[in-house]
Amino acid sequence: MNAFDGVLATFGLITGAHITGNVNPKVVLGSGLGLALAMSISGFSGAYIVERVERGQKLREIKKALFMNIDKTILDKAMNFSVVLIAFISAAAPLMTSLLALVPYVLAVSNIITLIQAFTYSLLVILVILFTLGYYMGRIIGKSPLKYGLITSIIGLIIGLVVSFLAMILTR
Amino acid sequence: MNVSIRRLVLDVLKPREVTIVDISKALCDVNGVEEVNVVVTEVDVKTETIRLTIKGSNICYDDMAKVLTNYSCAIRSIDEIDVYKHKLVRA
Repeated sequence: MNAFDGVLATFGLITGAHITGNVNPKVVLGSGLGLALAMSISGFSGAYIVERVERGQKLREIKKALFMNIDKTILDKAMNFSVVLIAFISAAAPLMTSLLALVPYVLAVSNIITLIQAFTYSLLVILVILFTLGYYMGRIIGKSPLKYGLITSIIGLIIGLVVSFLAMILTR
Repeated sequence: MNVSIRRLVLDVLKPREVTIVDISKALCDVNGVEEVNVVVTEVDVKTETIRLTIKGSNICYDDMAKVLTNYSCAIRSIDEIDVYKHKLVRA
């Protein structure tokens, strides 16, 4: 879910930057990296706190049912490990998707491709990521992966349209 | 002469998150244990009651208890025990 948030936030940033005009690839790249890092730290801390509370509650319930202290047992250690693992995954997911979407801007800053090409390639990367995430979600829940892939792609396009519309109003 | 345990039947309460496969393998890994049999006798929302039958030439109860505690299992009772007397074998 954090990967979805990360890619959509980057999409909003890129679209907003291009619609307002006078785009500098360095600014887009810098803002995008800042956004990716912020989302990653937010994902880590959010997941860590929520998972810690949930697992702590679960352990307390097990302790109550067993009438024994289960601190430092394999179950306790496994639950602590899963909290950290989930937090790391929640941090890595938005960082990876955001960085992938920003790769064309790295090429634009290095003058390998033009700014318009960077924008186009970035949009393509974002749509591919959105479609892949939807496709994967569809497979997990046992529904049509293609349908879910299209739904997530359409959500991305709607966000693009909304951001473009808002940016156009604000820059008038 | 030495007295050793060769069969132990325990009534154990375990969390549902811990599988009987893991518990039985860990118990069978202890020195002196040759065979472990687990039967789930009761299933609750958060816990399961299991009947553990441990067989071996020289079972150490403290080691069994340590393994079970490590796997968040509570020993409720020792239901059966077989002990035998034998001569100490010196290497």
